[in-house]
Amino acid sequence: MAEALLEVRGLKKYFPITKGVIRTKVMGLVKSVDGINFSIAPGTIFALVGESGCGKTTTSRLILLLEKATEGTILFRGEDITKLDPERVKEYKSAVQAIFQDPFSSLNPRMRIGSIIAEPLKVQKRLGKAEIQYRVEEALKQVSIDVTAARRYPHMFSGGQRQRIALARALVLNPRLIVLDEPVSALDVSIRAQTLNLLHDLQRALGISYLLISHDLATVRYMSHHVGVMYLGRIVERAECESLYDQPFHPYTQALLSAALPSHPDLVKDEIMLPGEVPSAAALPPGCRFNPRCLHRESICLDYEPELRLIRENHWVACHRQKRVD
Amino acid sequence: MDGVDFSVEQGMALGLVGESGCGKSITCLSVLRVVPEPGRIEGGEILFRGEDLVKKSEPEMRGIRGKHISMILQDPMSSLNPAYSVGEQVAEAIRIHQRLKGRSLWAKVLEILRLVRIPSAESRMYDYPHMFSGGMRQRVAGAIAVSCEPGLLIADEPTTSLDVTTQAIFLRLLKDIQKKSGLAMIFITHDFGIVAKMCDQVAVMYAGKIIENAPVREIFNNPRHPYTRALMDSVPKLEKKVSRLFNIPGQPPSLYDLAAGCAFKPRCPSGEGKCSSDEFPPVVEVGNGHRVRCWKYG
Amino acid sequence: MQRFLLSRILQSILTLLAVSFIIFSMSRWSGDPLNLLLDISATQEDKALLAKKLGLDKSLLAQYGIFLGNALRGDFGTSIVTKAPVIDLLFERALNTFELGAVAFGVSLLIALPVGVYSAVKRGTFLDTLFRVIAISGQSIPVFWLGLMLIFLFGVILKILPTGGKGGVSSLILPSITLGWYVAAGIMRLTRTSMLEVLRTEYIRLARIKGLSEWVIIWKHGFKNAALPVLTFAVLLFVMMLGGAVVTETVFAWPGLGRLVINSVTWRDYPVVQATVLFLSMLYIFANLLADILYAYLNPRIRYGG
Repeated sequence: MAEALLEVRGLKKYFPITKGVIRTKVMGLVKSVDGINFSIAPGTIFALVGESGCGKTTTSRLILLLEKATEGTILFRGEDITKLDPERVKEYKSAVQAIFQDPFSSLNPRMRIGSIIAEPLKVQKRLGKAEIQYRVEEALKQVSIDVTAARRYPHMFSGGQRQRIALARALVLNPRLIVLDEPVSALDVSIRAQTLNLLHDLQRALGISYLLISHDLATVRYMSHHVGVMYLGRIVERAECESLYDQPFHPYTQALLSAALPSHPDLVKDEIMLPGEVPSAAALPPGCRFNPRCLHRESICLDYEPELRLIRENHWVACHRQKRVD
Repeated sequence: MDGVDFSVEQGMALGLVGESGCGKSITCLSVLRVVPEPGRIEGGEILFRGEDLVKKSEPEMRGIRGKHISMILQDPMSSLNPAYSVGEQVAEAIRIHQRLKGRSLWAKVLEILRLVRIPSAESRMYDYPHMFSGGMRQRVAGAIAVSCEPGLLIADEPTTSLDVTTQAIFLRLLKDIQKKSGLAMIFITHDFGIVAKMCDQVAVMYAGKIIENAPVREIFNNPRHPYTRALMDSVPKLEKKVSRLFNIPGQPPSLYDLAAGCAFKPRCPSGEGKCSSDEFPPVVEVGNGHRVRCWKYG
Repeated sequence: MQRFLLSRILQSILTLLAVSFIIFSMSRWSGDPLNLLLDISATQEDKALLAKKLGLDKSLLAQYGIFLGNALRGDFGTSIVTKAPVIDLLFERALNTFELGAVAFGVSLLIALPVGVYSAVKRGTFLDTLFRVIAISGQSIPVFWLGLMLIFLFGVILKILPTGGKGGVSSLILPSITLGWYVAAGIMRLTRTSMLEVLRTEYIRLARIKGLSEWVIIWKHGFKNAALPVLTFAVLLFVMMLGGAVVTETVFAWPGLGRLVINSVTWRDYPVVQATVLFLSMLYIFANLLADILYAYLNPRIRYGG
């Protein structure tokens, strides 16, 4: 089996809650990411899905080294990036790039497109002006934006075009992994297809891996090879894409899929209504963190937190009730 | 907005589908006659229970707004006034439209908040909007909208900013209320999923005009207008992995400078001789209560 | 909210102490006070004696300590010029300034708030433009010019109002207008901007959709939110006005704090300077604290947390 490009083991991120006039006393912890494991193979797309507060965005920030992990390891090509010295960190950052949700704030309005795309090159390497220009033009061609755009400013472009420019900026360093945080949520519906198709094609053509963060289950099904479902800081189910959608095992995954919007009126189904609300990540329930809302709760669920267990080929669930099916 | 033509029956839900800038929000703001300056209604009729709202005076409209026709706006984070408690904001509409006061007023407020399933409503009605999550705030907005038992509820992209499960709860709530009270609804949305789940009739808007109008199953099984078809094919499906999404070339047109003739012409994957006409295609009946405005059929 | 209040009060006290130390030591920099008090023929012994009497022979820090101790008891020493206790002078003058200030400010608010709201609601109309022009002129016209012109018109030509000094109600009119115009202009413009921003919000749109009347929308929903930044700014403006009343007081010969500061600086009456500047600083620090508390109280997000 090929070595994983990115591997996350036991990753945790806790945020302290402080008290006191000068904010020194720590009263509690917000356990935003509470021990997750997953890996992304080279040339594949791994999606993290979940609702607000589940920790998927924090996870993406940890992988981009925008936050320091409280515990756990992140292995990139076998190396633990949480323990790298600054030189190696720089190398890592050229191999791992990101695209964020809001196309209107991710490009500096005071910089020309050419400079925006050239910036990562200037930071990372020492290249001549001609070489930089060449790379910028290549990047723009890859995302189907006319090369004359390099002289123009962001405000002259639509949301969809800006997202493509952000993609060009991400591609210019030939990354191995791109983190996509809700890449099309802020775009018009007819533009989404354009952007998704582009992402899809480039991924296949360049053999890049993606970490896709999204709440839209239909988009995730279209794009991904593997999916991880997050709830309150942990991955509760992780599987090869079609396996997850065809046969979800975890009650939360089932509820999520039943709540998602259908694509045809004949496919409308009754939603599984989960009781209660998502608890605060600062006050996690004992045992399985999903148990207060689970309709199939048993006594073991109140005592022990379940670990991800293989239940089928390429399909893991963290649930006490699931037995392996073969 | 240019020559819009649709109707909603009691107890039914109409989906008004289109992308941003197509004029769907303006259409519904026009129904309530709250279009912001410098927009104004230039012509046509808005018949509500047989009466033309265009001809009504401002005081008459105020008696209709919030009472007979109400609306839920898109962003729950900004549609509630941060300076007043949630209970007060629900009470306002009841106070002026149903003329309740004192204890009976607040009893009604409590009843409505319970109807939209706000937990611990008795104590939470004194809380301020910032103390509620997005999903809860949208339920409060829903409470305000149904508080005076309107005949028509317009929901403008009500679940765009909500989580998947929160959205499901909210839509289920609307459906339950509709079943109980025979409320007519108009859903403004860009999402065919909402239409599939909630609507009986669908009207598709493009560049300020309704280009297709049909019962929901008919339009999903048999989309006629190339735009409708393209839009449906460009969206990923939940139920199965599609091999490729259809890419509609170009951009939605700006309503400020529309070319003559069919507005979808520059982006249309199909096209015939008649499409080069300078006239906008007329409405054509294609059977099963299905109407289209496309030169392919007219 | 308690934590917020506690930390703000703590900050204010610390600021006040720091300011008082600076003021105290500054009055020593303008020259050895001993030279002011004695004439040139004084001998070293005379100087030493006076130094000891006034406590000027101790270290700066010790002198500051004494100063602070006295100040807390309300004893700011005696005026070099009038030989009367500074505190009495300060008190009397402060009262006068407050009187003028309160009238000027009160009338300003009464006029500026409704005008600001009207301007916002009727944006672009002739009256809106007119009001804005008057407001900007109010902020651009030098105060002394305005005062002099008013005196000239009403006191000299028309002879219907007194030309200066503190007398009955009629003597308040012209100085209040002069002092208040600037403040009114500032409040009016801020109200207008704040209202315009609020009127664009979704909750105002929803209020209209509910079928509420325009009056309710503007005042209950609009103004309630728009007033917040205006009122907190107004508190600061009030205190700035008091401190800046110097020119108005001079033009109108109004016996207030502003004139006191100017005169006592000219006469090197350092106990008075010290006390007045310290008093004005205290007012300003207190106004800032009050503005913060007011904002926290009026803003439900801070008041109720959650």
